[in-house]
Amino acid sequence: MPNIATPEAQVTITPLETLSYGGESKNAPDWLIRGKAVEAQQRGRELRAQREAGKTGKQVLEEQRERGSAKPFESKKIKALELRFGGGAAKEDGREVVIDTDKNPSFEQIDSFTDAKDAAEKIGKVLLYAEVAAEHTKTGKSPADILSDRGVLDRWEDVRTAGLDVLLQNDNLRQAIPELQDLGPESLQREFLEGALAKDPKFQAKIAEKMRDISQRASTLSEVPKDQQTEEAKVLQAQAETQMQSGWGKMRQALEAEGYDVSKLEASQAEIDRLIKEGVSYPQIANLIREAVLRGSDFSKRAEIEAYIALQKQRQQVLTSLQQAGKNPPLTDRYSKDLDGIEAKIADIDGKYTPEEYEHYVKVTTMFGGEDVSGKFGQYKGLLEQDIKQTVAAGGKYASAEQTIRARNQEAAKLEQKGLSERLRQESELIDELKDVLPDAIAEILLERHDEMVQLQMESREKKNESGVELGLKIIEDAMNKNWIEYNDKTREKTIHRDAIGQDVRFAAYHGDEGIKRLMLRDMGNRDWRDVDLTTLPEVQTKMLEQAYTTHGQAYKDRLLTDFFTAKDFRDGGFKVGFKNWKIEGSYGALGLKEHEWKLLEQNFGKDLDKRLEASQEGAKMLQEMKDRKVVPNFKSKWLMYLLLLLGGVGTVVAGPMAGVLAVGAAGAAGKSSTF
Amino acid sequence: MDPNILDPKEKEAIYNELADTMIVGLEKGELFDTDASEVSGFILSGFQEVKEKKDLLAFLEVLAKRWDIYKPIYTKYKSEELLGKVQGELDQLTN
Repeated sequence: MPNIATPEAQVTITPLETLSYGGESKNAPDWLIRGKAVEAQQRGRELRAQREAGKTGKQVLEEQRERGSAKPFESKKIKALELRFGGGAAKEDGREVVIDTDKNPSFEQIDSFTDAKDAAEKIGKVLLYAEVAAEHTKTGKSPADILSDRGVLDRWEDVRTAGLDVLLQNDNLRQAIPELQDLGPESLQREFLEGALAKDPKFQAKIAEKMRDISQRASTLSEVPKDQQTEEAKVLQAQAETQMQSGWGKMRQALEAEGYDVSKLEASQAEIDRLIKEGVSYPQIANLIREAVLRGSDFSKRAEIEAYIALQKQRQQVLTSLQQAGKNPPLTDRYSKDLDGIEAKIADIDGKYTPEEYEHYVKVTTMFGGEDVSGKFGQYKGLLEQDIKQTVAAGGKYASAEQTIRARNQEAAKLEQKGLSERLRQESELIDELKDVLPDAIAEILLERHDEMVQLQMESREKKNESGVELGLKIIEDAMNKNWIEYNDKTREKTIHRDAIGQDVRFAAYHGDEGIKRLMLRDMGNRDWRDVDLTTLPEVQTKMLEQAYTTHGQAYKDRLLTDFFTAKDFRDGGFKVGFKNWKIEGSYGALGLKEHEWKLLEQNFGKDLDKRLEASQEGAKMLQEMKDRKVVPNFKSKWLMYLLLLLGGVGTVVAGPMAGVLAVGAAGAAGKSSTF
Repeated sequence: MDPNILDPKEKEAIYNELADTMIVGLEKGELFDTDASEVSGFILSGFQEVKEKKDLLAFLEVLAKRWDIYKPIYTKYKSEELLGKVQGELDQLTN
């Protein structure tokens, strides 16, 4: 149990007790035990419903065991989470996760992936920072060593800045707590955020808990269905492609082994492949390949060699004709004349190329199935024919599979599109939740701290009431817990009464301390509380009011303003209050003050606030730092500082006469808590 | 069938009884959620080793020592065992 003192005394909760808040210690404050009991009852009801639905006792036990052993989400799991987005088109590329362009992702897939990756990486930065900060706090090990143990190469200072900057740049946080930006330079904002919030191990636990849930659901995202026939055709196509490449490989190898330059052939391969896949026949393809080889190797004398070969053929034909002509002079004379002409031409060409050049040419044409005119290269005859035929045949299979894919195109696209839309819809829900992780974690932490404060007040009140407190005091104590942010300690339900907060803060702004007194009078049941002359009240009521105001006036004022600034964080565009046990009533505009109302509020309550901040060790430090940096904090930013420190910032503590009784010592504050 | 051996049906009934007791404990706030996970783990790993009725009592005794909510179950099975013994002796005397 925490130390609860009488209204006259200051009370401090020891760091050990504070630590026990979130732990399993049975020495935790009563309210925490009650909270856990409420959660246990809820869990009991869930398990009973499962039993009634037919689950066996063993199955229930297994589920409960699983629940306890679920591992916390850690920053290193961010990459695996990113892979689940983009409609199945994300892939690992070294240390990065990227969209796989080979899968022809749609714009929607790319958008979904990019959004998720952006949100997940931001959370990853905050989580890594928070994990190291929490481990450092717990073990005393240096952040640099912790990072090194985790295999993180970045410097701690960079990890810290990156993590805190993600928080500072979060739109929701900026909108919810605009005063943060009034605290001065970013380095100061970082320092403040770190001290007041980010180092809190509960903050890390909150993010991890939310991410574990999102990650579990990401693992069960629906898969995008594929058209069976299309998929089979794609497999056949891939096999055909492999066979074609293998055919090309063998061709290149054979040509290179004989010393031919295949560079031109390689340059033409894509174009020839395209023709093969379009169904161009073997002889044409063989011709194209041969030409590409001839263009590549040094065949500068090709024209002469080809002319020579052609002349040789003509010569052979003429000789045959001459032989057949027998002794027929007119014919023999003509053939002899032709032969002389051919011989002359051959003599003219002869010597324009070397024998090596000639053989080089004849060999390659023989390899492609041409005639071995030299009579030396019989073993090369048709050497490439088989490889080309294999390549062309594989191209045919490719073309056939392509035809199937085209024929199924519409059907497959329809099926896939339907599945993809559903998948992207599910992803979009998770992305929204990812974007809410950080602001929700911040909001929940602040609200839980508010809970702690109120609970401790209530426990303190219970003690006081045991010793007998006058009716007026009790009425005011009850009113403080019901008027603005109402807390039900049995159900742990909280309700923000926006309209009531707005009206009362405005009234207090206009009427100052007397306004506070009149609000208390209202709570005591006086219907004319706004205008009644306070000197004309019945004696009993005057006594009651004076006693209540003396005892609780300060606390009442503090509580009104604290609830106002807490509630103010839950507005349009700010924190999304979606968690259980919190309800908001009243209009969103209810908490907006006009500029002159802010001035009045500052005029009436600003000095109090200054005193308090100066009296707080952390607050004074913060104010001094701001002064050193020539930053003049305004009323709102001072309130932000006060509120965050009051609600359990790391370092010290604070609280004060607001409850008349309360001072919360935070974990890091061993033995140095201060009150004001 | 050896009467000292727990058959699968008997084991299932005991699992149900142990799980239902845990649920009641949660509903009454006598067990917290995290405790219930520990209890579940303890029962699942311990009870699967229990083959015979005598092992069951030893297991329930340890369970009841760790978590009070299981004391009534242990007492119930212990009483049944004692009653069984007494009945056996009576049978012997009367036969």
